[in-house]
Amino acid sequence: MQGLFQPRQRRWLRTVRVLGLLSGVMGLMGCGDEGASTSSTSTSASSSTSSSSTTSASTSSGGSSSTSSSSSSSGLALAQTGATLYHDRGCHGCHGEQGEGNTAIVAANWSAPSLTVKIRDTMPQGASENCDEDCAAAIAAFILTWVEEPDCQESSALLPRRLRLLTPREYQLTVNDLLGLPSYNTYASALPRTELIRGYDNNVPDIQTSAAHATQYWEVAETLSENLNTSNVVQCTDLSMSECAQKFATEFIPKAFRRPVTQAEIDTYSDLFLMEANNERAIRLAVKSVLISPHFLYRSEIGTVNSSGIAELTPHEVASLLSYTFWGSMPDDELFGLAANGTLLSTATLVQQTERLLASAKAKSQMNHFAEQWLGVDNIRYLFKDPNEFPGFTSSVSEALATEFDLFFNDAFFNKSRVFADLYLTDTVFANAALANFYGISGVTGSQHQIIPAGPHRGGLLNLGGLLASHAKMDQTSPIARGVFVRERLLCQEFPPPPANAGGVIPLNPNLSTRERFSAHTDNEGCRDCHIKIDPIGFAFERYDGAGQYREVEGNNLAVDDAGSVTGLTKMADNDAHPFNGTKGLAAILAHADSASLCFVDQFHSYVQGVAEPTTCEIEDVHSRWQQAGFGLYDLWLETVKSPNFIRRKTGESL
Amino acid sequence: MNRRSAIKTLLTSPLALRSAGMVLPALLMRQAHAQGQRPIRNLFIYHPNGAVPDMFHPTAGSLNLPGMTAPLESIKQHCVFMDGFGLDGRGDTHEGGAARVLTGNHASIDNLRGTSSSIDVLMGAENFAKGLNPIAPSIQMGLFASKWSDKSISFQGQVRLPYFDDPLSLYANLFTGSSNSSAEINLAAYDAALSDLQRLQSALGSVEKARLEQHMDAFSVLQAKLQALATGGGGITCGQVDLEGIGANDWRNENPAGPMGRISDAQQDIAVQALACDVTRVISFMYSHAVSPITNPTGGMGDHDASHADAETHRKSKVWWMAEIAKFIQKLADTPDGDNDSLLDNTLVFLVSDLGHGNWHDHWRMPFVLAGGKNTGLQLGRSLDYRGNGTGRYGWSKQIGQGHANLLQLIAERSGYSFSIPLATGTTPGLW
Repeated sequence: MQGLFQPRQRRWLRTVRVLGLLSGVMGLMGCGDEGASTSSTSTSASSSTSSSSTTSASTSSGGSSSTSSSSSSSGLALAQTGATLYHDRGCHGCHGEQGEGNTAIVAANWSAPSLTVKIRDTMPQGASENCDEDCAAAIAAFILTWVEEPDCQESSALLPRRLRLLTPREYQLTVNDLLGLPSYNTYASALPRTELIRGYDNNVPDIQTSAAHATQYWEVAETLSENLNTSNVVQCTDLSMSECAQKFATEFIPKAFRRPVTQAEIDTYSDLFLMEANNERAIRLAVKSVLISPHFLYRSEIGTVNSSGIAELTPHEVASLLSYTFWGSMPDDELFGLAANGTLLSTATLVQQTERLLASAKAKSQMNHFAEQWLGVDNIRYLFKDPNEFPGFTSSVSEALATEFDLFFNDAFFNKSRVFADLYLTDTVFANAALANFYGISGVTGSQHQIIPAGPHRGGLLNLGGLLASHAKMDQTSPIARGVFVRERLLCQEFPPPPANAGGVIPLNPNLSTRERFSAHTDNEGCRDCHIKIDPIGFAFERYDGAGQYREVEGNNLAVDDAGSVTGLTKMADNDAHPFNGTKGLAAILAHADSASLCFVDQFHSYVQGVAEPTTCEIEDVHSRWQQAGFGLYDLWLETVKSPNFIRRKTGESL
Repeated sequence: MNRRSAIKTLLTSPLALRSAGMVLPALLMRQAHAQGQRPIRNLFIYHPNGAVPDMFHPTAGSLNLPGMTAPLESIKQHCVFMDGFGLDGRGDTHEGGAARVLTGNHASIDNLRGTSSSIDVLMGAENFAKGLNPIAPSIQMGLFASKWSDKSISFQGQVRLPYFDDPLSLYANLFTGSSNSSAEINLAAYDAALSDLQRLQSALGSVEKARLEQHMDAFSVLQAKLQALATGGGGITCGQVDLEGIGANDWRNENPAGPMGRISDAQQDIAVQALACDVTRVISFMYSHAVSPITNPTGGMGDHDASHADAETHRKSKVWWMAEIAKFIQKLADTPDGDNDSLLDNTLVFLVSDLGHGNWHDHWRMPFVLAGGKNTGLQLGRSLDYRGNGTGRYGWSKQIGQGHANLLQLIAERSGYSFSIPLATGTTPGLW
């Protein structure tokens, strides 16, 4: 049956949308697309849907007696019955063919029992007597087929062959290395900002070159070519132009293209080189051209196809994959050398080189970039906080918060004794005097950050001031932003956009606690389904104000209540409940939750692979090996590289 | 002093800037003048998070402006206020509206992106095909438009286009076109990279075909720019913008008491000069973006929060954007264009948003306003109400009204374009 077994629901449906399943808002508002277009368009769309559903429905008797007999069959038969009932009962009218409707369903948030109960008790809306237990079980079985089943067959688990456009950050770091520029410069700052997909700037399918990119690449290349030191590109003292051209083509271009060059490429750039009047000008011209070449702008993951139809990345492609993953920049001479002599591709060498890369300061910077994107922390130094509300949030404090964030993850990600749980449970902080004062910790002097005991209110990523300030408003906290942060970034459970008429939160009022002001969301029927999953987590952060500073009272001396609860730790719609107090209590739960460590692998693979949805099989495989290795954070980087699929791509499918 | 250094001096020296002639725009300006008639330009101005419709739309036939549009008082004679428009196509909430509003097409189910090029891009492409505006077929720019990079309303095919918020780099990109190398040499540098692209396409065949075709399309715009530079000459002064005192990071300073007004002003000036000098004929200008968290100088809280508070709270935030837009339109009116016209007479301005009612998250009674464009034949100084008059049904309660796809189509046609808006089925009656 068409549509029964889809490869994978898209992430934002896959994860949470079923929370909005049959929500009160949609019942009040009607579930069709409110933005229905002109009558002819609307007719066209609906006729398509009805044609599809008619076809499906015609294969079934659709009654609950039929369902009853099917329910004793295999899971497949049950799901097939459910597919028919799904249409017969009109579920697709609101929820879409695969949960993509206005009242969307995120199948991954449900287990079969919880979804069956939900359907049995509430569906169809206003007429739940029309779908009994068997009917509900069948429809639940059908809906759960939308979730991708892990398929570890080799070919389907592989990424496609692709070209990965350098991000603006990668571009900047690459030209720094390639042209010998100082480590801090802003030559590439004019490049268009990359659209973040799932929070990451390197999404391969969706980040493409527009006309604005092309013209900005040219502008930046012009600026760079005019400002570089040509002797950092190629040494041509006492060489003729033709000799220098040859040297440029055979020494510089392979580094810029990150692979050996072809004779055609040598000829192209030699000819260009010789159009100028002297070596100095010719180098600048040729560099400008190289910097707008697709071979520079894209890193290749095309590979060569083996006898099994699998594309194996070339040694030079693997060199780039390693260096961009851990440095965000081009390979160095050692990686190029190993690629050239053919020894890079053994697992032992890959691991050895990964460890070498990780030992560099470049890796610390790059992995902090991953941490920022994983946690949705934009540049802490540019955070703006209302000085009337938060006079303590000075530029020196925001600078110190940014440094603390970096030092925290340098320690967590590179200290080989650190395990996943330490992300949440470390009992030290990196503070200078400004930060210690902001945190209310005494005994720290000077501008240098030092490692000190965290005390009762700090320690672990949930208590990082920079993170807390990032997930808050300009003038107050945001339990919603913080609750969603935990669900989406730490548990990989995502929410749909809020429904219509979401209503506002009561404005700041010194006589009302934040919990009281935000409770309207949970009390409002249209908001409840999602906010009972958000707010109880977000309230746990309430002892940290909008700037990340600790507090025990708010407003007019109102005591802060930071009791909270996580329900649905693995499947968000499930009812398992985990009560706790404050961020320390929440941290203790997350530190040992399989769903949290699995999510961390998922997030890291989004970053490494440049995709919004890493393959479930790959995630589970790496997680399993990582668990066996003891969940050492440093080990995860190595386990990722050791995966056989790291350097292989599937053929027959392009993005 | 080389050209690049000279430009840097210009950017930091307003006195020098005011006396500088910009080579390429000057050439194009001469060409435009030679045609004897100034072209029609299009300016799309986005304001975030919808409105409270009753507080935005004046009563039909009246120009008594309610609270949210009150800042347009001084330029209302240049406007057509329009109630009763809904967004055509599928795609819910802020993101769906952002994807639909300039495309006139459905949002994608997967990610609520546009599924076809937006009207600004289509206009630019049609001009580009005629050899016009090689520097910038269309410009996407704004104030805090790129803070969240996944909310832009412009699409080239399904590629979401970036918006440029930094006036210093945008100005350099649009108005300098300078180089230490001759134009011919630069074209040769382009050709070498083009050879690489062509060889790559040939080698990969069907693998990454769409991506490389997209790259080739983008490259062709760069090529046209370089070719225009190769045939350009100097002479007429055009493109003067005072960027005095603007710091390198001011464009992202979110302090409501900080420089955001100054950046808005500078970006408007750049847009006006880009249109006046015929660097482009199409600009999409976004004041922030859908779900904008920006607290503007009058808002008192983030715009999105304000949109979900009571109407008065939303009004306080909305009026700052609208006041900026009023200044923008006034600048167009104050800029001569041709012998007896203003730039506003030749520029059709369309105010759009991602939602109708901001708190309700619907796409009905969109806060649309047309302005300027007198030379398209548009009669200005009117307010219209299409509620109950149309073929579409919009909003949660399925109200009858006009569809925006037809309006986009009509704007395109009246501006002299021949492309089709995907969901357009007819015209909007009584507008022109």
